Amino acid sequence: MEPNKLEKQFRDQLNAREIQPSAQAWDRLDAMLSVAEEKKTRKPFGFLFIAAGILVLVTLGLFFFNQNDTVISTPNTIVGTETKTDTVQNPTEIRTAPIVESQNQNEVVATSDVQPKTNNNVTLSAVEGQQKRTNQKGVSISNQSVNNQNPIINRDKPIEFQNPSDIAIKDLPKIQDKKDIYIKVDNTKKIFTSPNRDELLLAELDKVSKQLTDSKSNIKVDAKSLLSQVDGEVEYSFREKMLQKINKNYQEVKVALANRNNE
Amino acid sequence: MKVINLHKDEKELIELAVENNRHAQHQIYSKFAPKMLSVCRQYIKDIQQAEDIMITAFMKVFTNLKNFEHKGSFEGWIRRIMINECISFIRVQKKVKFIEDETFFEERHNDIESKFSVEDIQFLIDNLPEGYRMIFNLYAIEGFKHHEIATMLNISEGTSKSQLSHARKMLQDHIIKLKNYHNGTE
Repeated sequence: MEPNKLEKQFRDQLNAREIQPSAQAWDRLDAMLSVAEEKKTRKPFGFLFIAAGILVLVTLGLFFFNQNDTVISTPNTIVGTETKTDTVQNPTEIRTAPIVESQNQNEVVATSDVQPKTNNNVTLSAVEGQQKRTNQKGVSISNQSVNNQNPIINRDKPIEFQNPSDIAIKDLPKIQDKKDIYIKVDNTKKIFTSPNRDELLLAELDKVSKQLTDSKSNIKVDAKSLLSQVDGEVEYSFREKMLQKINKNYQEVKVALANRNNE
Repeated sequence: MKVINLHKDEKELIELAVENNRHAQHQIYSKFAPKMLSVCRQYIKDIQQAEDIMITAFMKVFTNLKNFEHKGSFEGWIRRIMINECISFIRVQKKVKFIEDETFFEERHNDIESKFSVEDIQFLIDNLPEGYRMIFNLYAIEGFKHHEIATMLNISEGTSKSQLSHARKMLQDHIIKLKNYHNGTE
């Protein structure tokens, strides 16, 4: 298995051979070497660049995060006030609808019977009066009052249907209604002896509803102006802060550069 | 005179090249590139590919120059890098796989006395399959031992031996054919 003479000849001749590489070969190697050198020289600074990049990203991130926060926080407060006005508005809307219904019922009753009509009117008007009171009393009372009133109105319904058919059964709920009326009379302090009670009560109801609608519109205007005001304030303060910060940083950098140059 | 000076200053030149002195690097390149391209050409048929591999190997030479300990010859160190680059190229690009076989051919002792030109030798080597050529080059031309070739190529020593015997047989067949061609008998 030893290399024979022929192989020796091969080796000698091949080792003596020289093939001139093309002229571009060195240029390519030169380019590759300079690329490798650049990479090497960049490496120590690479960390600095990466660190600086991360810093910039973090500051930018914080900057935008804070900006977003302020933007979000302002509408939140406004939304809160708006919901309040909504609670005020909604009950009135809900209330007006059943009142109309009750009025219709009253008319139906009026066509059927004379005696119970007055009673029913009294009860309903009393209920309406109570509704008005609750409306006037508090803006915060909303759904509960509506829920409380609904059964009363519903209670009237069977009474009305019973009106034309049965008087005996009708009397019992009437008494109950009357009790309610008395309580409400105490609350409202209304004189029921006057003949135009219904008209008076209706007029009052209209007044109250008007007042409510007026107040509602006022609140709306307030909300808008508030929103714009707050927005403007926030933007202004933020802008001021940022400008101050930038100015401060710029001054610092300026001083640092000046110091470095002096050294 | 100049060549002697260059040789004398080889260590200095290497030190300069380590510090990325482009002039020193170019001097080293100019000195060894023709020989190294010849070495690469032994393993790779295509001269362009051989040059590409030489360039990448020179890249490795310059990037690892600081690891050169001045113990052996500088040329031998560069040559070894070239050979390793060629082997890895052939194994990766050409996907040469050595089949584990340990069959040997009888050694023929009818030494061919005729002289061949370098072109003829290269032609004969080029006509060997990649695997045979690689082992023939490593054993017959570079003078590596079978166990060294086995570790270099990650094959068994037996495979290296059997591959060499296959290569030799094929080469002798080719030589006879070439001789007949030259003599005009074929």
